[in-house]
This record gives sequence, structure tokens and C-alpha cells, in this order.
Amino acid sequence: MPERINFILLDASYEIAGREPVIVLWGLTESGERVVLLDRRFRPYFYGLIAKGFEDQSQRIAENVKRLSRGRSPIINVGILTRRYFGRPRKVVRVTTVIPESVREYREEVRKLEGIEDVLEADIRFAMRYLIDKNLYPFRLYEVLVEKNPSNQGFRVDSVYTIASDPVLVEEMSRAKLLPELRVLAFDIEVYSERGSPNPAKDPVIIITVKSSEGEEVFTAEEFDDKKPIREFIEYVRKYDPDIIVGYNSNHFDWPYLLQRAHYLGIRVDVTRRIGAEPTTSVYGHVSVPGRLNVDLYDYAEEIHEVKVKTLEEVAEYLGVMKKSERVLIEWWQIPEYWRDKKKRPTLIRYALDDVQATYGLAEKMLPFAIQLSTVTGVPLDQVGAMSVGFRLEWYLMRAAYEREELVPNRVERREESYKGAIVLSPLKGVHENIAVLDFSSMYPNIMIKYNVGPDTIVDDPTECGKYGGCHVAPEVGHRFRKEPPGFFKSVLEHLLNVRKTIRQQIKKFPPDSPEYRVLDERQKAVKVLANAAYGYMGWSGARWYCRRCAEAVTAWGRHLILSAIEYARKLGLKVVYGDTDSLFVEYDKAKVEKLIEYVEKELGFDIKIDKIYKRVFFTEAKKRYVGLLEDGRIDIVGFEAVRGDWSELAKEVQWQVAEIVLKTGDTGKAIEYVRKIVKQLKEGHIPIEKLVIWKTLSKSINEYEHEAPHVVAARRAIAAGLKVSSGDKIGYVIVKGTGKISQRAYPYFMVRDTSKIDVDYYVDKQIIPAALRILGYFGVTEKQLKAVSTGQRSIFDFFQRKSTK
Amino acid sequence: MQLEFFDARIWRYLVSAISKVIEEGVFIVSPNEGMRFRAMDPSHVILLDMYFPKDSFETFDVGEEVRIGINFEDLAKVLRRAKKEDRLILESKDSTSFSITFKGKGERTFTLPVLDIVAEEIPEPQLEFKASIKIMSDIYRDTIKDVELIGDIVKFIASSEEFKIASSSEFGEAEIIYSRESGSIIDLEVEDVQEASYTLEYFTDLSGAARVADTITIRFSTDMPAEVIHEIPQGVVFKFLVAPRVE
Repeated sequence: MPERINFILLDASYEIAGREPVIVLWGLTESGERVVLLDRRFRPYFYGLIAKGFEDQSQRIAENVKRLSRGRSPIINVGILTRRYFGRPRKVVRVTTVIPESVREYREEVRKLEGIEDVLEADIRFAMRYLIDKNLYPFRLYEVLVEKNPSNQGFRVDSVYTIASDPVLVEEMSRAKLLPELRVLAFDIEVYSERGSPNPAKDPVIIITVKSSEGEEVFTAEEFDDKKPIREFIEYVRKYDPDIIVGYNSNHFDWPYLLQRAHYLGIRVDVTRRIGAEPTTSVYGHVSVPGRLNVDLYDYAEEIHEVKVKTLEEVAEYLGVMKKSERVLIEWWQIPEYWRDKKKRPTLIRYALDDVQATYGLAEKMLPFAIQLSTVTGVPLDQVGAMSVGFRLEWYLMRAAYEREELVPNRVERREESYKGAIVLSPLKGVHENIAVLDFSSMYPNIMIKYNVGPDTIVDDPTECGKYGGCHVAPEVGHRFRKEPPGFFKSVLEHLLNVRKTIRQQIKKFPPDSPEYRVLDERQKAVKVLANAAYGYMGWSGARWYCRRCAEAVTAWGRHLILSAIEYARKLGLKVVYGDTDSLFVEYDKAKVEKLIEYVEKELGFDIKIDKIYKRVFFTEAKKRYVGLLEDGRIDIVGFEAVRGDWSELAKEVQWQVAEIVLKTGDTGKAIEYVRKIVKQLKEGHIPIEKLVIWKTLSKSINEYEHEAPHVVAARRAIAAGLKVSSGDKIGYVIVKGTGKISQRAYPYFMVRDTSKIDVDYYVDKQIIPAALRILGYFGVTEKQLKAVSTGQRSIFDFFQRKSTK
Repeated sequence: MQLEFFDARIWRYLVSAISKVIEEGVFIVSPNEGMRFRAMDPSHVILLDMYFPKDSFETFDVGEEVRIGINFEDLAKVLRRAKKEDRLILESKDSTSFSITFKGKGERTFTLPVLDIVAEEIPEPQLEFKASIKIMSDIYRDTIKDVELIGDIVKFIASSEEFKIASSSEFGEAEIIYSRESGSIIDLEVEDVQEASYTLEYFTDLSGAARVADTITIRFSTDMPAEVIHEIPQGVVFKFLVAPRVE
């Protein structure tokens, strides 16, 4: 008996059953039942693009395609259709077969046929093809006509249904439909490894910790026998039955290690919702756990640029999930010692529990956005984090293309091509008071919309412009884009910006602390991320809709726009201090700034708003480098070492503090006093080693280095200690006392535990002083003065204080 | 406000010395006391104190307290033009500028802007000095020049018998001894033995001031600041207090 059910889509996959593909939709009903929906009606297909001049031979070409059919996966349909390719109508043959894998073979044969210019959309994976064609998005609610299957056929869910007609969306994008509670499980493993990189053939998994809504659990090995914890973990996953499994770096460590280790022990990691299927590594380097969404939170941590060292504890601290000072911290190389020593073992277990709690806490912070990213792009949650922003946008574009009967171009190998970028003014050096920062809202997306920019609207021959009601001509570069009809990117972006606007209107209906507010807020952020990615996407050589000239035109319009705004500001008598890409720093004269905003909105036709007002901001002569004091006392540091990677935490901290003191008090003397205090602490060994670690990335393999840079020397020492180090790894080192070159005295930070070994002079002369001087130098403080401070030189103040305390 | 001083060169050397350690500062001219300038360098290692008593001026026409914000580099440049025998007239008519006039063979007037800065409030340090040595200013200058050759740090060691100035570095060692017998010391009062080190650079930077001083008195105690007092004609005093280095 067919019935109607509601379900929220979680993930999609497919299986082959009886020589036929079956789409498997994993879902959740509103009442909280876990369900599988099977669709046997869908078949894989691709397009053959008919070459120009062969349109009248379409029929013959279709016949030739049919002749390629083979029995194992016959070609069941060849349709001649009209689709658009880069906005222009083209004839295509749509080739439909049975087994998804056979598309690859047919594709090559069809490509060779006479009259076929290219084959298209043959590289879109089958399950995604289904989601695109049926317009299904993860975490949205659908209604569907189904028939309940008598048995669950090896799916570990409450019910299995067969789909009888296409699912229909129940909830609109702009609505804050709350999901039924999802079961989230965080896990973390600890491995016993005496030296360096653990080897799954011999090094046991000594601790597995899990945390879920039901609390936390620890599974420990019996000394070095780890069969028990692995079995207990599998059992726990099966029993708790999570919808989402999270870990930190789990795609690259916990899962692969656990799977390989279990394999050596002869244990099946039977944790999926599909009996017999173990987790596997999949397309974007993520681990796929059938029926469950496996999310590696590290993917989202990578996008937090404010955190330099992306360890779990650092990221958890940054997001306010868990303070480093309130948790157990053990270095990986100390783990064996903590495991062997029974007295220390409870500390190690506490550490593993702190890790899993931090992971669970990160999930609470990150999943809401991740889920919205998934629902907006249409990419399942387990993949969306692992893919780059270009791919995320592209999946969205592919859906938009399908809706518009536009063909998806193939990805073509190209060389990177450069083009002129945004404008960055040389700042007015010095300290400025009361400066407003004006931001063009979504400048690039708006340029793309206003001037109809895209690979489908670009016009090579100027005489053709007449046909389209004229062309928009980009300044400087002269690329033309037809005015009508609207192009692919324009319509997609308009849609995205409209969606965002609607969501933002909806948001107002909810109090800011309500769950609905949070859902909508994360959703509008995800939409914004996508819209803003469009310009960069066109300039990305890996893009299907690659268009260098488009990207070039967009930046040209951007430059023109900001220069026009600057010119007007100057006409008004507003001092322009700095400008970069889509923001302007001008003196904050309320009436004049309002006039400028009006000009930009009315005359130039773009939105601009005051982003922030600096009470005081200070520029060097360098671009993209300033320190600003906001009205609420917060400090923005842009472009100084404070936000760059190759300085120690200490140098970074010194620079922040110095900038803050100078901007807040205007007194360089106070900043120098502060530097003096830090130097004293360093000399007395009161600065923890972690703050002295310098992180640098190995940009090539260790053997390719000819000169001995400190991080290279440190990396060699790490290798000698048994650690695996490869190109792209971040090496953390400290400089220790001794004779000889500095680079020869670089040691991996984990080898140095005693602060008395630290080369204090190096940290004073090469870290603290230069970092402070970058700021103080512009206020007339000389290196000599700072150095004096650092060398046992006392301050007159020391003697004032001594007296006053008597 | 108008002040006239008999020798512009005294101003020249004092301001030039100050400009090497401090960029800006405030001259305070008060009707009862005269002219005073006190300031610390940005790193707070030294405290400068320059005092021109009321009677050191030939003309002292001051109605109420006047504060003049000075950029020392600019002022030093102007004062470098002072010739032998030039008198100096310092005049301030409003709060935005002041003028310097050299009165010699002719009258040359330079007008400079007054900086809008506030004088630091610096407490008067109450220090006890257990060593006090008074020497001729040329001996003091020679001594600084001698130790300059060697190191960055100067060490003072004083006992009731002698005053020793030393410096050492990988480059070598310098040791200058003035004993009571040598006759270079005008006055020597020391409790026990006092020993302290200082960054030489401050002494070097300020040594120009000693050119216009008659005598120099150095006062210090072990690991405590040193005070270097320049006694200048007409009761003018220029002194600096420098914090020690303690290793």
C-alpha cells in the first residue's frame, strides 16, 4: 500500500542490485525515525554535444550512439534535445544507460564519433546526479509517496521504503524549520607508539574515548592488547546509532588508523548503517561511513585564520570550548611513558577524555554552520567540509545549471593565468584619529550582477552588441558583456542575494537567542560565502565555468568604483587615509560621509556602509598593514607579524600588547616598560616553552633543502627521533643556548622541556625587539632604546617604586 | 615673556645634548624660579633635569608661568648657528610660537612653532648616594672618550682612595683610575666601596653638555642609579640620572 511520509534528507548513495542501480536516500522522519528510501527508477546518463554544422545529422549520430550499446549495461535511451551551452542553444544527444560505472566507457566511445564535439556531464557521480535532478538538498524536509518494504534488507534503520514518486519539498529555504534532534557522536583514539609515527601493524590503540548526548565513555586496552577497546567502540557506535560522527583530524588519523589496526587484528569495523559495509576513504579525502555523516572538524578549523597552530586544544581555546589551562595536556611523544607508568595512566585517560570533550564542544560550535553549508550547496555534510570553496560553489552552480537547462562544462586542465587585481592605496603614514571604514557590500557579486558578467555573456565581436541591446564595457581592459538576456552567473547571484535578503527578513521575527535565529543566521552566512566566492571561482583555473577575462573585468570595475568614490570623497574635502579592494578609510565627518554614501548609492549604483569607526588608527607606509583602536576598546592588527606565521607566540603577544598600549595610552614609555617586563620574565624562565615555539612549514621535501634553515635542522632532528616529517608539515622549533650558528641550535620543541636551555638572547634580539619595534619604530623609539631595555638595563622607575613602598 | 641669556653657546651645547636622547619636551618658565626642563627618555633609563635660575638671566620678564613645547632636534639646529659672543633672547608672545634671537654682530631671529604637548609629571627621586666624586669637566669628557673605544658598558668603582672607570668587551679592556694623589679629583666622598654599571651610550650622547660645564659631580651607589651633575656658570645646572644595569 503506497503511503505518504515526510523525511529530512541526510545523505545519498547507491548500490547495484540485480544488475540495476538503486539510489539509497538516508533520512530522518519528523517523528525521529531513521529511514532508508530506495529509488530504483533512476538511470545514469550523459550528453554528447553535437558539433556545429552537424545539427541536421542529429538523428544519424543518435543511431551511431545506439550501436555502441553492449549487453552488460545497455544504452536504453538516446534522446535528441536542445540545451544551452555557455548560454547559447545547442543540440545534444542524451545517452542513458543502466550501470553508472559504464558511463566512463561509453563516454570515450561517444567522444570519438563523427559530429560529436565533446561529451558533457559524464563525470558527475550517480548519487549526486540524482540529488541534482530531483532537486533534493540535505537537511531539508520532503514529502514522498512510498511503499514500505517488508524487511529492512540489511539496513540498520527503523524502516526501509521504496520511492514511488519524486519527493516534494515541504519547507522553503527562507524558513527556519528546526530539525529533529540528530544524534552526534564524537570520538578520539590514542595510540601507543614508542618512536615517531605509529605503525598499525604493531602499535596498539590504547584508549578510545567517545562522547555523545548520553555522556562520555572510555575504552582502554588491557596493557597492550587493544582488541577489547576496538570491539567496545564498535558496539557503542552500533548501540548509540549516531547520525553524525565527529572527530578532530579523524579523516587523516583516527579513522584510517583504526581501520588498518582493526584489519590487522581481524576485527571488522562494523559501525555503518549498512550491514557488511565498513567505512572507506572517498573522493574528497574524507572517510565515508554509510548511513552516517562523518565530519572531520579539522576541515572547519582550517578556515579559522586567526588560529595559527590548529591543534585541537588551540582551536578549542579560541572558540571558547575548553581552556587550555583547565585541561590535561600531554605531548604525543609522552603518551608511552604515561601509559607504562600506572600512576600516570589516569592522567592520560583524563587527557583523552578532555580531547573528546573538546571535539564534542567544537562540533556544537561548528556543525550548525556546516549543516547550513550543506543545505545551501546541496552537498552532503560529510563531503562539504572536505572540499574547497570553489567546489562548494560549483556544486551549487551545477544545480542552477540543471534548473536552467544549461549544460555543465567539463573541467579542463589549464595553466594558472594571472590578471590585474584589486586596487590598494598607499596609506597616509602616521596616526589618524576618528576614521570611518566604509565597505562596499558584496562588491564583486554586485559588479557581476550589474554588468552581467560571465563566460556566457562575454562578447568578442563588438558589432554583435547591437543584438543584445548593447554591451557593458569594462574599464581599462575593454572586455564586453551583453546587456540582455541575463547570464548564468547574474541569475544565480541574484537568486543567492535574494535568498539571503529573505532569510535576513525572516531572522527579524525571532529573538537573537532562539534556535531559529541561529539556524537562519548560519544559513545567511553560508549563502554569503557562496555569493562572494563567485568572482574568485571564475579566476580559478580548476573551475568548470572558468573565465579569466570575466575575473579581470570584475577587478577592473572594482578599481574604477573605488577610485570614483575616492575622487568624490576628496571633492567633499574628506581626507582619504587608505583604501583596499572594497573598503575605504576616510576621516569621519558624519555629514560628509553620509554625502559620500549617498553618492556611491545613487550615482554609482552600489551599496556601501560604515563597517567600523576607529578612534585611532595607525599606518606605516606599507600597504595592508595597520593597527586600529575601535570605540569599544578592541584592537585590530592587520598585516603585522602579529598575524603572520613565522613568529613565536611570544613575539606575537608582545606586538599585540605594544600596539594596544601605544594606541590606548599614546605613551611609548608604557609600552617600553611592558617590553622590559617581558624580557625580565623570559630571563627568569617564566615564559612557557610553548610561547617560544616558532612554526614554519617545510615547503619541499627535507632532502631538497640545500641550506640549513632552522626549521630544516629541527625537522632533521625530529626525523632522527623517529617522527615522520614530510613536505607541507609545520615544524615547531625553539632555539637553545650554545655556540655556533643559530640554525644549528634549532630543536623540535618537544625535545626541549627546560626553559633554562632556551637562548634568551635570541628571543630578545630576534623576536621580542623586532616585533615591538615594528610598531614602536613608527613612534620614534629606536632599536637602541629597546635593546637597552633588554640587557639588564634598569629603569628609573624601578627606583621610584622602591622608595615609594618604604 | 622675554628672557636674555649672556652666552648662547651654553644653550647650544645643552640643547644639542638633550636632542640626542629626547625628541620633545616642555620648558617651564615660572616668574619666581626661572626656567626648568625635566624629562625622561622613552625607555625610562635616564631622567634629565636642566635648571636656569631666575638670576642667571640678564633680562627675566615673565608675567605668569609659560610652558613651551619644544622639538629638540629643530631647536638644536637653530642653536647650532650660535656664534661665540652671541647672547640669546628667548621670547614667547602667544601659545603657538616662540622665537630665538642671537644678539651679536647683528640680531638674528628664528621663530619656531610651540608643540602642543603636555609636560610629564615626574616625581622627584629620593636617592641616597654613597659615592660622590667631583672632577673637572674636561677630565670627565676625556674619560668618556677613553672608555668609548672599548665597550658599551661603563663601570664605576669608587672607594675612599680612588675612583675607577672601567669597560670591557671582546675587543679589549679599558681602565681609568683617578686617585686622590693624581690631583684630577676635586672632591671624593665614598662609604665603603661602591660599584655599579651603566649603559655608556647615555654618557656619550650627553657628553657634549660637559663642554660648557666647569665641574662635573658624579654620585652613585652600588647597583643604584648614578647622577651626573654639570655645574655651569651663572648657577645653571644640568644633571641627569641614569638607571644602572644589573646583570
